[in-house]
Amino acid sequence: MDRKELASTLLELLEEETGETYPDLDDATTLRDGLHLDSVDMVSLVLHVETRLNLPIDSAELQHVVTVGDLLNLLERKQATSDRQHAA
Amino acid sequence: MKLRSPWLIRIVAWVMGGMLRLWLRTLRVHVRSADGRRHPPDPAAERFIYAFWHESLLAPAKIRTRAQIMISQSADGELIAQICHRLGIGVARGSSSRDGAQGLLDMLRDGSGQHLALTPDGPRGPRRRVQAGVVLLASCTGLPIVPVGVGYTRAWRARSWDRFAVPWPFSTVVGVLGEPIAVAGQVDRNGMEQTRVRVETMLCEATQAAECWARQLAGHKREGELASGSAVIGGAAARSCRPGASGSEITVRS
Repeated sequence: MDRKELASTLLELLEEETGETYPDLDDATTLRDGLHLDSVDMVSLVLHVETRLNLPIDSAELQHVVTVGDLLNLLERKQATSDRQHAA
Repeated sequence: MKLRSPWLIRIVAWVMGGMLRLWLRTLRVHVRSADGRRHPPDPAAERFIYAFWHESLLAPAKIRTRAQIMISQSADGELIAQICHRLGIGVARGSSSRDGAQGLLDMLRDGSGQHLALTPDGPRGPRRRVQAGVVLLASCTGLPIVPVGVGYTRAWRARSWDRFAVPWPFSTVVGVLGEPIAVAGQVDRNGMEQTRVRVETMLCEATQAAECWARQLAGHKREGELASGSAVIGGAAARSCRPGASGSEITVRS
């Protein structure tokens, strides 16, 4: 799955989670202030992302995730790691 | 004064942990549970999420059990975490004001084999208002929430947002545990809000019952201190808020 597909999946999960639409979502949008996600929303989103993409996310990895771009970067890295492990 | 140095925090925690152990030994504790069970049970058999107000954060320290409690990531939280560690209480770091997602995730994943404990109005309030994190935790883990109300016959109250309670040495602390609240898995937003309100209502009721019970105990003690045993002062008011007759009651002596 490339970054565009990851972003599309993330948007779908966000809209399912919050019941809102995000037409202007971009990498610079902050999760807390821009999308108004509180810690409960974040955890729900992480759990849904893990289930949908089969990518376990450690709580420590969330420490530097502030924007949508940070989250997509994290998912790309984890996906790349997962693909390498499967290939090996 | 805010503590920032990790070494200073450890030293202060060591001293405070020791003082806390001595102080806890002077307290008498009564606990009453609505479901008739002795709480907390052996977590190997049955686990719960115990929810109590932030102002009563010290109360669970008296009852030794395998539990994990969420503490904020702040420097103040570090001191409390160190003290909890010295009292044998597991800690998950994170709170709703900062890094709350990390703490919640840690509780979801690392709390296995232990009870979970949460102050649903922490770390910054509003006082006695339940936030949704406890409902999410229950929904994801399948563990029922037990609302825990705490009352004190005598306590100092801090001038903080939560009016943090510190029971006087040689005083009595009472706990009233409400019926466990089961939360459906994959609860939607409406369901989460409805459950949040239900938890808040039951926690307030348990707190009211505990505070009433404590006043009753304090009134009886003062009555016993009077020379004459004929007059019952405050008896009518005390009888009007007696805790429920059902359920089990245990007394914990130091």
